[in-house]
Formats: sequence, structure tokens, C-alpha cells
Amino acid sequence: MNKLSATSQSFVDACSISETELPWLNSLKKCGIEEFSKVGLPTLRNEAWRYTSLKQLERLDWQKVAEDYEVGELSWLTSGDSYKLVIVNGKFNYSLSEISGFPEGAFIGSLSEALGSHSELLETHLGRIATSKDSPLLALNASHMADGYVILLSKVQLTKPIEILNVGRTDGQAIAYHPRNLILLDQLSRATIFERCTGQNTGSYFMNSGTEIFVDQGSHLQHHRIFADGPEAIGVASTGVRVGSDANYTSLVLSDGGKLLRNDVRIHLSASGAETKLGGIYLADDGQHVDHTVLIEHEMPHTKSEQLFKGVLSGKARGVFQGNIRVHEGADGSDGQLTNKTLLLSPGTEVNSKPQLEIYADDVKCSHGSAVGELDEEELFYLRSRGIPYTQAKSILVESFLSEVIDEFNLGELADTFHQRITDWIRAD
Amino acid sequence: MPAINETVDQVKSVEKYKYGFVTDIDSEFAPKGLSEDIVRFISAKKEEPAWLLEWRIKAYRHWLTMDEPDWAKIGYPPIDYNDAYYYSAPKSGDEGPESLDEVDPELLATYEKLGIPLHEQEVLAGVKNVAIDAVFDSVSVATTFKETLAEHGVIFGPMSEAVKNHPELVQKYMGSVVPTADNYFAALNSAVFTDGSFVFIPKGVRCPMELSTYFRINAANTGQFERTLIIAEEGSYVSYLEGCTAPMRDENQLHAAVVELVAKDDAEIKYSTVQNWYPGDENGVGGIYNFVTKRGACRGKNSKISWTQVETGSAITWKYPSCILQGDNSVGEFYSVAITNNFQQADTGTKMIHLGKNTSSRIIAKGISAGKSQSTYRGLVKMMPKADGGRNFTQCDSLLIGKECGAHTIPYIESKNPSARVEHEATTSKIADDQLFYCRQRGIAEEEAIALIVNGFCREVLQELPMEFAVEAQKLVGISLEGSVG
Amino acid sequence: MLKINNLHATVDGKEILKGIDLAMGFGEVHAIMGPNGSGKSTLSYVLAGRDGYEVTKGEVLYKGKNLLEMKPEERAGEGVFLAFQYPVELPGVSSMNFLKAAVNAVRKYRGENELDAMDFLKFVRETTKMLNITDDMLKRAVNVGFSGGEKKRNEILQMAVLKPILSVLDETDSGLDVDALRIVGDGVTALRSPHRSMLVITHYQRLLDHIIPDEVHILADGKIVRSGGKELAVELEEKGYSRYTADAA
Repeated sequence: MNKLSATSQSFVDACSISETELPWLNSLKKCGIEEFSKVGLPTLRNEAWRYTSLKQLERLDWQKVAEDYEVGELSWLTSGDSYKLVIVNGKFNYSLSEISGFPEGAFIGSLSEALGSHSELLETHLGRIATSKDSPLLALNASHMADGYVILLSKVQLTKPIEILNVGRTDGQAIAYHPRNLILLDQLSRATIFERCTGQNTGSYFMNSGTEIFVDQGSHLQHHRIFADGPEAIGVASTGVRVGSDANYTSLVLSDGGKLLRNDVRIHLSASGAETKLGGIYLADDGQHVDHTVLIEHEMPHTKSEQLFKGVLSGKARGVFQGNIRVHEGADGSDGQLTNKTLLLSPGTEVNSKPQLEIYADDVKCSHGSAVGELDEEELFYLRSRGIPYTQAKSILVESFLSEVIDEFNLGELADTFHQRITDWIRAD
Repeated sequence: MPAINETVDQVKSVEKYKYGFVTDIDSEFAPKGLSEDIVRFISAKKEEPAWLLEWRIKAYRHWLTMDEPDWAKIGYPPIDYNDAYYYSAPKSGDEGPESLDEVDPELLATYEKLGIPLHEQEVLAGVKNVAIDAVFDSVSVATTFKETLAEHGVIFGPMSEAVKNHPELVQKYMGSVVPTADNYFAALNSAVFTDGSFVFIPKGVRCPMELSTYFRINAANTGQFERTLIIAEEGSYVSYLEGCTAPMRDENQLHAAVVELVAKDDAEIKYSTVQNWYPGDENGVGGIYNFVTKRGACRGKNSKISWTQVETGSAITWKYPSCILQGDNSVGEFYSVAITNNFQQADTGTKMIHLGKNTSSRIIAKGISAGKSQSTYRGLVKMMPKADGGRNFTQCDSLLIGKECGAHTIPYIESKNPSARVEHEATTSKIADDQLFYCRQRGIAEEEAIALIVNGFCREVLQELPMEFAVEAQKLVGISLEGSVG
Repeated sequence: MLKINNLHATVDGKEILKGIDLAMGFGEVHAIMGPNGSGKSTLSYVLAGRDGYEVTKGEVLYKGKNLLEMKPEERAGEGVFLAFQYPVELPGVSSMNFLKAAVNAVRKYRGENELDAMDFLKFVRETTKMLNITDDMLKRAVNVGFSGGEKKRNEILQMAVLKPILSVLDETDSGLDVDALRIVGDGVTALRSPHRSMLVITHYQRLLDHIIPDEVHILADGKIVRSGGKELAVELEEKGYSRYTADAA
């Protein structure tokens, strides 16, 4: 066993697993801490983490979230007609959430509540879609899991979107929290979820979230996310998704906040007809480090995946994209496509792109493409020759480069929000 | 391209691994195993200067501190480095023949059987002007056309001879591209390397003929650790080819070579390999473990290094011919075909490290997996902060034949320069049913049709090979895939 | 020469051919016409032996031999040629190389000596001229980047050099303009001979202006519903297929 780093050890020490009435939950947490104690926080030697160092975590003394924090004013992306969830420092906040009128028989609420009301369902899925073996961070999350949100839909087609707001807020002290979320859609259910991570105040927080999603039996989930954490935030968002027969998981992710973000997504296409479509936009500026890592597992025949990730880096930012399409033996008729493009706007930026194909079946159609470079000189010149000033020409080109990703998704009223974020980022840059 | 035209005829005419025979010849061995004494033994055998022995010992001691790399997508039982001979030389070749007339007739017959003529008056497959260095187990047994080359100032011959005759060149360049501590297998090679080829092309000289080294492993339980060094001075050009074969044996034999290339201003080195080490049988028994470090340094401005490889042999291939693009405007190329069948495993690719301004690189890799084999392309493209205007284009395509094999593509793209541009594309697919049916409807039998389609798939790479190798390579493509359809 | 008796065939478990009867003599040209989905292409693939086309009933006798038990390449060797509706692209395989491989494979099957590069070139040049095929086209990869007309001419070139006894032309006219149609039609006509038969599958009558058939058969819903002389094609052109599709249904 390797010696753990001081921070890894402190996380192990801080873990106190109180025996609950649910033996399966106790053992889930115990397995988590056992697994984490074996490996600790990943280092660059870990192939999956070769481009993202968590050394920054070692600099601070992370405390548990003690009490409920006061929250400042909240802004919402959706208009009035939506279900709204608020999670503050990993804790579900009922008084700020608006969930009334949620369809009969479906569930939306906190993990703690769901453990009481839907214990059997949770036992079947929790910790099994995203396991502690998948990554050390998920193991850490399992061992510390206390709260988060749970959404359970069976034979339910939601007519209103759900908006989830994860707020990180700290006043000085560096805090670490590990929310665990679960979304289950079964039997032709439909839902659209807009999820956002934001920071209030400017303190340091380490959000280590674990989200498990199962979209089964013809269900469709649209799950669009914005990572806009505070400037001192370190975020690791691990998401495990299982897509069942004729089901579909669609997700567009935009990240522009935080000091360090690792968005780690692993999707299991676990039955015939399962499909997923992922989009990503990453914007990073001076000193920011952003990492989008995606693993698609084509486990069964006739499954389909599409990925389009585009990023723009400026200042001393570093961007990482790792995308792997893995087609298992026997998963014939798999179709996997991946594209990653990154624009570098200034010297000092760094990009690492690792698109991978891992194919163990022969009747497949898989491809990936990756491109890195600056703005096209010729296009810039063309715009300028038409009288458009340099900075404006640059903005136009960057915007159109990124808009292509947004246009691939049906975001409804949220499309403007995504476009606006891009415009704002370019202006600030 | 006429060579392509011949494919089908040749595929028919050649049987399976025809290089699997053993030459019955008296050989001298070092004691079995690996130790500092063995390193000294090899150095003494070669009558090496003290600096070289020291260099070897240092490498050996460092090797002892290193771990065998485990990141490649290959699996094999632990290698017992003490269960092999690190030196084996035909007794007749011990002193090194003064001329071709002195070479043991048994050896000449061996090379003839391999299709490598060592008589200068003979020509290779109808193509003139190929000078050959023949390396048999641990020693070079013959080099042809030495005099003709010497007239142009070109030095071409065994490394051990270069150590004696041109120590200053060897000392200056050996280890300058691949340092002794570079990696586990390079360190091992540095400690126990026996022979290999040395090439020096003087300033402004276009080498008048193709240079070629033919590597042959013959003895049982023996590893081959050759070291090749090619130096191209300002404005010079050389095309170098290597071929390799080994007998069919049930055991796994280790081949850990190091190749270093240095290209100065305006110089160009074209390095081609047709690797056909014994791949093991259809049950995965035997075959060569091929762990090779090949690297070229484009030190001068406008220099160019081009690697072309056709990898069909070996049970395991671990090999990443790379280019360090130091000089401004320098160019690196990597063209590769890797075919695996039965239980073969290949993890191969390249590294293009862009340091200088306006450096460019091009990677074309074609992988074909059949049987129960696994084939991985692994490549790194790195743009350093000063590589203004750097350019890379990479195309990786994999073809799968059968349900039990795997094909993997793992590119690493790293850029620290906004003005550099990197483009990478990859595809994986199987031979389309309609392509096969189309060929068969025209009367072409299934195996031939596969050879034809696969050769087409590899064409971009094969056409980079010098003519006489292209023909052989195309035959190999067909042969390597024999039995891949049931 | 060719005798098809009560041929039934399925694709992916679905019955497409539902009892075809057809007899052709040496030197005859028969046209099979029919609406989309009537089974025209399926018939051509069954005759050529494509995987996935399962014969469930009936037999096909070709020169007195059981055609259905031969591999595709054996059928080609025996003289069965299929001009594809959608000729397949073979990236990196030069047309010349492909032709030579095919010609020599077929020659070998027939017990003839294989041609060397020089003889082969001479042999091919005789035909390429007639079909307006340039040497440049022969250097390019098979069908890759070819226009519709080039692809079809390439099919006829292959047909000419392989010297088949039974040629099945599957919608060879589709995607051709008037000029290309004439070139292809003339090419095919030039290949007519007393010991060579052709089965011309087409949707439209226009190809039959160039290749005059001895007999015309109408295929609808997997069966031949009517046979007649070349005037039947003209009648079809005027009245359309609707009554046959209705009949079959």
C-alpha cells in the first residue's frame, strides 16, 4: 500500500461512518473509504489523471461543512414555470426549493429523505451506476456521502423542466463537501434538467460530487449543465450514467468558472437501442484549469454515441479533454463519434487532448477527430477587410466556433443563456 | 505503382513464415544470464575502449534501478532476464571476415535462402545498388559495397568496427538521441548491445545507393540487442532499410534494439523497416518480443527524418519511432502499417516533439487486427512554447477482421503554442461485406480479396517504401492475414 | 443456359422472391422490369450468391449445373457476371490491379494461362477505347471518386474483360445522362454474341432502346406476372406499373 498524502489522510481521518439502519448504506460507505484508503487522491501517474493534478488540494486544510449557511439572492435561468431545487454546500435546502405540484407517484427531494421513503430503490441503484472502483474521487464521495438530490420518475413525462442550483458558499474557511445525487427515469419517462454550480462569496471550497443516472426503457433525459463555480473553487464532478433499451441521455455542458474543474462522465450504453449525445463548451482564462473526461462504454449491440466538445483558452489557462469510446466484445453495430476542437487565444495557454478508441468488436463504425490551433488568419482578415475591427472580428469567430455546439441541442428558452455566457466570457477576456 | 500490381500474384506464391528455418552453425556464447561480468565479457569480446565499457556499466547499473514499463496495452508473462544468452556469434565470424570471400559459406547460404544476396555482383530482386550489412545474432557477418561507398566518403558497416575505426564519431553521437537512461529497454540495450549498423554520410553527399541491414536471430535462448546510429551531415541524404527474421521456436526471444538518427542542416534521412520477426504460431506459442527504441533528431534547420514501418512479425511489438524537431523548418514523418493476427500484440506509434519554429510533422498509421490479436496505435504530438507555426496532421485508421480481435487508438495531443496547429483523425471499421462480395463476384477468392482490400487500405504507407521493399511488404500483408477468415 | 424454377428467397427473414420461373437460351437478352421493391435487385444478388440472401425453395440451373451451391467466385469463374447497381468503392486498390487480379483469377478457374502485365495491358486497352475509359481512370482506386457514369462504364469494362456467359445488369441505366447511357448501351450491345446471354434489370424502358431485348418479363411482388416481346416494355412505359402492383396485391 502506498503512503497517502497528508490531504488524502486527512480525508480518511475525517470520515466517520455512523451506523444507520440501512446495512447496505453502511457497507457502501465502508467500501468507499477502504477503496480510497488504498489509493488516495490520484496523481499524474494515474493514466486517467495524467493531465490534471489535484496538488492544489494539498495546500489547504479542508473542513467539513458544519452548519447551514445563509444564502444570498438566487438567480434562476428558467422562467417561473419550473421545479426548482437548491443545494447549498452539498445540502438539500427545502425552504429555498420549489417542488410543489410534482406528479403523483414520482419523487423529487433530498437524498436523506429518499433513503427513508425509497430505501429499496436506492439500495438497487446507489453506488452501482458510479462505483467506488471507477475513481478514487467517487470512493471518497461514497465514504463521505451525506446528502444530495434524488429524482425518481417512472411512466412520468414531466411537462415542466427541473432547475437545480448547486451553491458553494464559504466565508473564509476552506470547506469540502461530497454530495451524492441520483436520477432514475424508467418506462417511457421524459425529463429536462438544467443544473448549475455557482459560487457565492469568494472562499475556497472543494466540491466532490457524485451523480448517478439511470435512463431506462425508452425514457429520455435531457441534462444540461453549467459549471460556474467561484474563483477559488475546486470541483470534481463525477457522473455515472446507465442508458437502457431504447433510452436516450442527452447532455450539454458549459464550464467557465472555478479554479480547477474536472468533469468526469462515464456512460454505460447497457442495452440495445441505447443512445447518448454529449456536447461540451469549455472557456478558461488566466490560471484556470478545466478538464472534461468522458468514457463511453458501448456494452451491447446497436448502441450509439456522439460527442462534440469545443473549448477556448486564454491567458495562462490549461484545458484538458479526454474522450474514450470503448466498444465491448459482441457490441456489434455500435456507432461512436467524437470530435474535440480547441482554440488557443494567447501564448501561455496549454491544451491536452486525448481522444481514444478502444474497440473489441468488429462490426462497428467509430471515429474521432481532434484539432488544436488559433483562429483562422484568413477568416479574421476577411472580416477585417469588410470593416469589422480586430477585437470584434475575433469575438464573432469565437462565438460562431462555439455556437455550433449549442445549435446541436434543443435547449429551448435556455439557448439564449448559453449564448449569453459565451458572449460575456469573450467580453471579459 | 507497379509494385501494387504484383500483389495478388505474390500472395499466391509465398507460403507461410518461410523464414522459420535454423542454420546449423557453430556458435560461441557468453555464459547464460545477465550481470556486470556479462557486460564486461561483451565489451572485452569486442575489444572496446575503456570509455565504452564504462558507458555500458553505467547503463547496466541504472537499468537495475528501473522498472519494466507497464503502460502499454500488451500482456506477457514476466521476462526472466537471466534465462537468456546475451552474446552469440558464429565461430567463423568471430574475428570478422576481411572480405566476402572469407565469410562462412553456411552463412552465405543462409542469407541466400532469406533472399538477401551477399555477393556484390548479384542484384536484389532486380534492383541494383543496395549495400547490405548482415547481422547474425550478435555480430555483423558481412557488409557489401564498402569500397564503392568509401569512394563517396560514406561510412557503412558494423557498429563494432566503427567503434574501432571512428571512435570519435561514435563517442560523440551514441546516446545523444536516446540516452542510456531513456527507458528500461534502452538502458538494457546500452548495457549489452552487441552489433548493429553505423552510417555516416558526409556533408553534401547524396548516398549513391540504398543502405540496408538485415537482422537475423538464429541461436536459441538468445536475445538480439543491436544498436544503429545514422549521422547525416549538412545537406546529405540517405535511404536506409532494415529487415528482420528469426527461426520458428516455441520459446519467446527478446529483441531490444536502439536506433538513433541525427540529421544536420538540410539533411534528410529516410528510414524504412519491414519487421517480420517470427510472430509465434496460431496458438500464440513462441515468437519474438520486440521492444525497440527508435528516435531521430532533426538538429539542423530544414532537416527531415522520415520513418516508414511495416510491422507484421513478432509476438509483441513495443515500438515508437520518434522525431525531435529541433531545427527550424524541420520535418518529421511517420508512416506505419501494423498487422496482427492470431495472438500477436502490437502497441506502436510515434512521438513528434516540435521544438523549433515552423516545424511540421505528418503521421499516417494503418492498423489491421485479425484472429485474437490486439493492436494499438499510441502517438504523442507535442508543440512546445517556441514551436511557432508548428503543424501536425495525423490520420489513424484501423481495420478489424473477425470478432475476437481488438483495435485501439490512443493519441496524446499537447500544445503550448497558440500558433501551432494540430489535427488528428481516426477511424475504426471492418472490411465491408459489400467490398468483399464485389471482389468475389469478379472471381477473386476471399483470402485474396482480403489481401487486395487490405493492401489498398495500406497503400498510402506502402508507397512510401523503396520499391524492392514495397513488393516484399505487400506479399507480407497477404501472408500475415492467412487463416484470418474461416 | 439458365433455368430458374420456383425460386423463393428471403432477406432478414422476409420473403422477397415468391416463386420465380424463368428460362433463357444462349445468346438471348431478357429484360426484367418492375416497380421499386418488386425484388429485382434481390434476384440479381441471389444469382451472384451474395451472403444474407437465403434461398428457401426452388432451384437455379446454369449450363445444367446447380448454381446455388457455388461460391460467388466460382460463379464468376463459370461465367456469371453482375453489373452492380451501386458499384462498390475499394480505396487504395487501383482499377488496373483489380482488373488484373479478377481476370487472372477467372482465367485460372477456366484453365487458361494467366496474363503477365504487358499482355494484360494490351488486352485491356482494346476495350477501354470503346468505352471511353482513360488510362488515368485505370490508375485511380476502384470506383473511388468516380462519377455515376464512370462507375457504370467501369462495370461494363469489367464485363468486357471477364468475358462472361451470363451477364446480369442491375439497373445499369440508373443515374446516367443521355450520353453516358448511349456509351453504356453501345458497350453492352457490342458484347452481344450467340453464346452470351444477358439479363437486363431495369425500371425504365429507355435502356432497352439501346439494348434490344428478345423477351421482357414484368416482376411484381416477387413473381413474374407477365412476359412478352420488346413491345411490352413500350406498353409499360406508357401505362406504368400500377396495374401490376395492384394485380400482385
